Amino acid sequence: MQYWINQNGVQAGPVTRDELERMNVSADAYVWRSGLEDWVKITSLPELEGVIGAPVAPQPAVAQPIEEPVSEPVAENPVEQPSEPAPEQPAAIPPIPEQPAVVVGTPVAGYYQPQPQQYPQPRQEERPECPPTNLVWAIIVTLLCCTVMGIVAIIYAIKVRNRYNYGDYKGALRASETGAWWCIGSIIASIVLSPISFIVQMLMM
Amino acid sequence: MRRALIIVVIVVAAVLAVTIYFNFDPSESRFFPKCFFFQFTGYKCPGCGSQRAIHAMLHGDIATAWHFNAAMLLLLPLLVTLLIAEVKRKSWPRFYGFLNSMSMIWLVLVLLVLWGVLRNVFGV
Repeated sequence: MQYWINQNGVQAGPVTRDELERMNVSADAYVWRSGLEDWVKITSLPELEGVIGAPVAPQPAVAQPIEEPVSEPVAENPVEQPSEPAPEQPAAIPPIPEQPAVVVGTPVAGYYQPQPQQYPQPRQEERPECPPTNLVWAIIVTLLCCTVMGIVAIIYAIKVRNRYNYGDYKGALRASETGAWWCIGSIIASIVLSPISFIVQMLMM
Repeated sequence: MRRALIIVVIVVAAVLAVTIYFNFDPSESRFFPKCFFFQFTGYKCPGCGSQRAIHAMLHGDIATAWHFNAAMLLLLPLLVTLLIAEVKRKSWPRFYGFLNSMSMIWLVLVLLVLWGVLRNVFGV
């Protein structure tokens, strides 16, 4: 499950629950994940219980000799190990390579930002648009062209929504393209099969 | 550019189709393609009768259109709305999202499959 987080006007995501735990999240942060209508307070999600005020990267092996570096839980971002346990430090958001944190306003790391913008924000801003479901074309080809292929195209429309709702944008895009090809295939099939059906009809008379 | 081309092709095809289906009756002419699903299985598919229904509809004969393919008549308002939503997606994203939602697609799928089965059971 992937989450998008917004605290002190700084937005980041997608991140996993584990990453959230390491992010020094304050209780007034907002989160969003697929399945939610809108941003919610992080404290209102039962599955994220323990993320707030979670012991920030417990390090039992700090003072250990260096003989056993493998046993230490490998932190992905060793830089963010807090030297001072500052309660509000948005700079601890790990850099996400694909989708860099969307910066709202002009935040300076480590400073509290006065909020010019109202929570919750519309989620369209940080999520890509759902790929086309091709539902119109699927219905049209079901009624007018090859029915069976049209039905398959409708099933792919469901798959597009399904993948998208789970946050799998690439999967949704693939399903969308496959569905479009089934629509085109249905049209082609009806054009190719029409003369054949005409000949069969002639022969039967 | 590509989008404009697609729209032009669709409009030309639609005008051509309307002219043909207005002037010729598919139940009398032999040159209209027959449904191969019906031809080879003997069962009516959800789309069977849509050509005759379109011909009747273009002549304003709703009762006959209903007789040939009721599902098409029922889905026509939805299809028009969906097309508008498709064109206006940028301006009305919520409208598009509602019409292309999971429940809507499921509804259409169930309707079409149910129609395909029931019309063979009851012979409509």
